[in-house]
Amino acid sequence: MENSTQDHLTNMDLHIDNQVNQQLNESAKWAKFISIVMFISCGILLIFGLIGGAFLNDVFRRLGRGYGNESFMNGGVLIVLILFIVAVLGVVYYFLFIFSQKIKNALVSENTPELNAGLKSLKIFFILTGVLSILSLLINLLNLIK
Amino acid sequence: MENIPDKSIFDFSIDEEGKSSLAAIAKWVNINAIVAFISLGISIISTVSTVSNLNRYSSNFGGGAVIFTFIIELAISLLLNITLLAVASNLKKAVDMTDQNFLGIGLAKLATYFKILGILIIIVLIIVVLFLLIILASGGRGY
Repeated sequence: MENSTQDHLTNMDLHIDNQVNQQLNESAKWAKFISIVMFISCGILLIFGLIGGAFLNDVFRRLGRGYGNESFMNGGVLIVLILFIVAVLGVVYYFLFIFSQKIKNALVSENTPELNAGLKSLKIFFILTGVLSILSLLINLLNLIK
Repeated sequence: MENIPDKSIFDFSIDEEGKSSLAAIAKWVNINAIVAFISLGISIISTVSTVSNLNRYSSNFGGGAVIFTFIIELAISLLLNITLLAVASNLKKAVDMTDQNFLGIGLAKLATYFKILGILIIIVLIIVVLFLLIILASGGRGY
């Protein structure tokens, strides 16, 4: 009888027990901290990028048309590059932030759809970081071959 | 008569959708770790070649600082990516075998991964703040 109860319990589907609850809570706490720091860093990068871009534009304008309008590395390019980096980082860490929010809500309200939404956000976060790291690896390999 | 809520202790479970997300997380965490190990290999090759080239052209070049920085980067990267591999392997086993123990271990490793990242971020923030304080204290002299 006891054995059969134990077998029944071990054959149960995956569930949120105390240990899993604690680990998910810990992950959500650190994920929230990491994403907030990354959002602030993106903001600082954006401010410095815009200031730097405007400064470079000004320098090239003063140097004259020959440099300012045709140079590849002018302020406009820097601003676009910074905007692109901030947008990509913002999107990646937005999903980590959503993961932390949804998981916390799910653990408090014991809500399975909310838990699924949190896990889905974490999945998207790892997909995005995976794709970005593959791209960066390819760029490094190309540089090494050159 | 006592009013017993009609709720099982296992009502809050991971359904098929959750399991599919966990499987995808395991797959992509594994890809992330493998790509990071390959990048680390490339980085080792390029650092060794840079240090040996600099030593060849300049006998005064002290490669100690470069090697020290690189060893710290190597240790951090190994720690993070070994943890990621453990997350991937345990979550995959948990989903494939519907094993609660592996789920617990996998999620504990995931929490450890985020904790290491968070602590590294705190260390970097402290270094940046100290650097800014030193610049402010020196009043921008020498710049």
